[in-house]
Amino acid sequence: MGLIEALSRFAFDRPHLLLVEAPGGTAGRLAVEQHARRRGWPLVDTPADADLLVTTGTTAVLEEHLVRVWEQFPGPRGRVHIGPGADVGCLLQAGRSSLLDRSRQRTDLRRTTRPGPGAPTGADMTGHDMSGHAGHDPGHMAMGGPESCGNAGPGMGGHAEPDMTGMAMGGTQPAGNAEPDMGGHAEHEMGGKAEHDMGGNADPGTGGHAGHDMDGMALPAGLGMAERAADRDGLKLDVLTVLWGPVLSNWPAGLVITTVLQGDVVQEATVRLLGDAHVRRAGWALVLPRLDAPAAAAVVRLDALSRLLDVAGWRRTALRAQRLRDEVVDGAHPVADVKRLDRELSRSRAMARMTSGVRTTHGEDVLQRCRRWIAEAAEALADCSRPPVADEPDVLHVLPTLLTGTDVAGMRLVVASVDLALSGADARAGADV
Amino acid sequence: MSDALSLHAALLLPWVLMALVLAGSAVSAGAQAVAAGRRVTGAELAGPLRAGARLLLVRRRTTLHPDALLWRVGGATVLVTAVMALAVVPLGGRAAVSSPVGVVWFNALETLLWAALWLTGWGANSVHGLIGGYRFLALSIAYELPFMLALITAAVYGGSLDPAVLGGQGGLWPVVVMPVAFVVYLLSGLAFSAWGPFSQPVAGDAAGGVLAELSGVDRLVVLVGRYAWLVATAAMSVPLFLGGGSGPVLPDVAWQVVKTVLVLIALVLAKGALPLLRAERFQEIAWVVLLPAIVLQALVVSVVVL
Repeated sequence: MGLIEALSRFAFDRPHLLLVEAPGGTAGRLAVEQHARRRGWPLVDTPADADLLVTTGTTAVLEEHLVRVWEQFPGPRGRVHIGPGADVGCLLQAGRSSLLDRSRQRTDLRRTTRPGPGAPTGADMTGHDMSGHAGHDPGHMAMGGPESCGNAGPGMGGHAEPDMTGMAMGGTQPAGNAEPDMGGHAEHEMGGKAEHDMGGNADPGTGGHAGHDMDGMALPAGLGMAERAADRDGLKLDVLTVLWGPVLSNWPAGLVITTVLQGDVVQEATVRLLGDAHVRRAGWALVLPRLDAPAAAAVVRLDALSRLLDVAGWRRTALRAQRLRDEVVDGAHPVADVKRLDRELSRSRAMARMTSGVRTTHGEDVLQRCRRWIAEAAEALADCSRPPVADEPDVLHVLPTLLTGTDVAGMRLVVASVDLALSGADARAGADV
Repeated sequence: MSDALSLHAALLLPWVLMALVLAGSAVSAGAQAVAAGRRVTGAELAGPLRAGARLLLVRRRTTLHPDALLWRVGGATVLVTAVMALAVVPLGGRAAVSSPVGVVWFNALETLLWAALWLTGWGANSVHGLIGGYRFLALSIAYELPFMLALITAAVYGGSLDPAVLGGQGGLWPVVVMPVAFVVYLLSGLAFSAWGPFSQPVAGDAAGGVLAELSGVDRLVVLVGRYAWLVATAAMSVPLFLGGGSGPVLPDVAWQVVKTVLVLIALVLAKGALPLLRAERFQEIAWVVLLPAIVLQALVVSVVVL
């Protein structure tokens, strides 16, 4: 049908990308961000709004999370993996063509089997909710490697939803399935489903099945009621255990934070980093080796700054910082522009009001951290001297104390402000000299 | 009855709304392209059409055990209230539905947004939606009183609650006498569409907030609803603050459209220009700075009118 094809081609001309950076995937992430910015392909924050799942780095540690995110994609959908040295443009174009391939999308749609709605039983909770599915196969993806991107087209996941008559559902969780019991909301990286703390004893790490205590009440879809506990004002508020990461926009690779929320205030936080530290540092190794130490230091700071500004919602400035980062990676020294950005940041009263007082490591607050990063980047580019590498305390131990008592917005800001330390970028940037 | 409803204004209403929504979203797309360093071409400006087409082709989705009725009703309410608010805005002297209390009608519909956006977030049974919904309520507590006072100030100055009467008065533009009220009005307009610096309810740090679980047509309805409210705000600002259709040379209707478009462009360009104003920090500013300022403004205007 010519009209629908033409409409599809127009509609998916700029597919929405959900970018997931696994440890070691920094170069890929930078490349995808650059492509997205240059071509106008939006990078979105939720799988509900995404067409392509783009992964970089060693996704093996994130596999279970990726499967669950994949099944939240409404169709049509595609998956692209950017390996080291891959041609990002080619792979993403291939991803886009897969979206237009209607027979493939139809197969994707039909290939999932799903148990019908019904009360969950303990037996259903094995590993993943798709009974009758051997293994999780989010499909073949376009492997980015030295070989051309022409071979494996990006694949379709095996988890598309079946046709439910009378309802248009896309990539959803089946009702009545065990999903919420995977430690309650475990791995709820994005767009979670009902995350109810199951009787207060959910243990995300082990996927406890605590939720079946029905209290004699038939609760909908087998979900438990949220328990209540005293909060900081002495009120009794509902308690919700929510996992943040590893799939979240502008989030350090492989980081998973389990928070106990009351309202949107974090009462407790437990931090975990997936993947090895050396894999994480190796991620920057692909980006930095051609640069001298001052330029490398500027790159990592501009990158961390652009992510922090994006989390703070200041999109225009975040994009400027991103462009400057890419210019430095390409070998330029845009000293004047970086200084202009520095001035704009210091002059912004809104930024000052919104980020001051949010405590982060080294006794600074987020605002001071921002200003320090940009000042160091400007200095590094201007004087060609490497800024001092701050002796970062063990962030994983310090982070929970920093996060307790902040609200969700504050939590995101704090995590973005320790981005450098978590990625090991600074150490890497310094190591070569 | 036939006096209250102007048939051809009512028939024109959806087209005008659609044209303005497309225009506003095209401006927004162009601004984003400029911010990203791309050249603004036709393809960039067609961004909103492309996004709309994509949303029509993408499947809808749901979550585990949402409150489906309230969820979808919440989403639809955003757009429906915007259309209803636009119905009392005069175009060429006649509104689609002329109402002697049009200003109050506008305000009442805007308060329905409190429920609409919160339900869109809560109904999805998702923590991100819930966080977004509560952020919106926190923002509403901040801007609502100043907004109401701004509307009251404009009504007091014009001596009427009917937008058609306010717009047809001629003379000095009210914005000259009440600049604070105009600024508060525009800021509130941004806030109830969760736009620009007030977009914390739909922010990326909570995975999209209220929009986190929406896809397909449901998402399209809410996104168009937000733009439609920006259009309604811009359209209502013309009779309230910008002297209606008054202006040299061109007829009334043309001036109204021009002024609406200019205000709409100003509103739309606020996106990405400032960091997100966090709800609890904005509440401080709103209650300590904006509210006294607007009360003072109302006092000054009342004295002037007397």
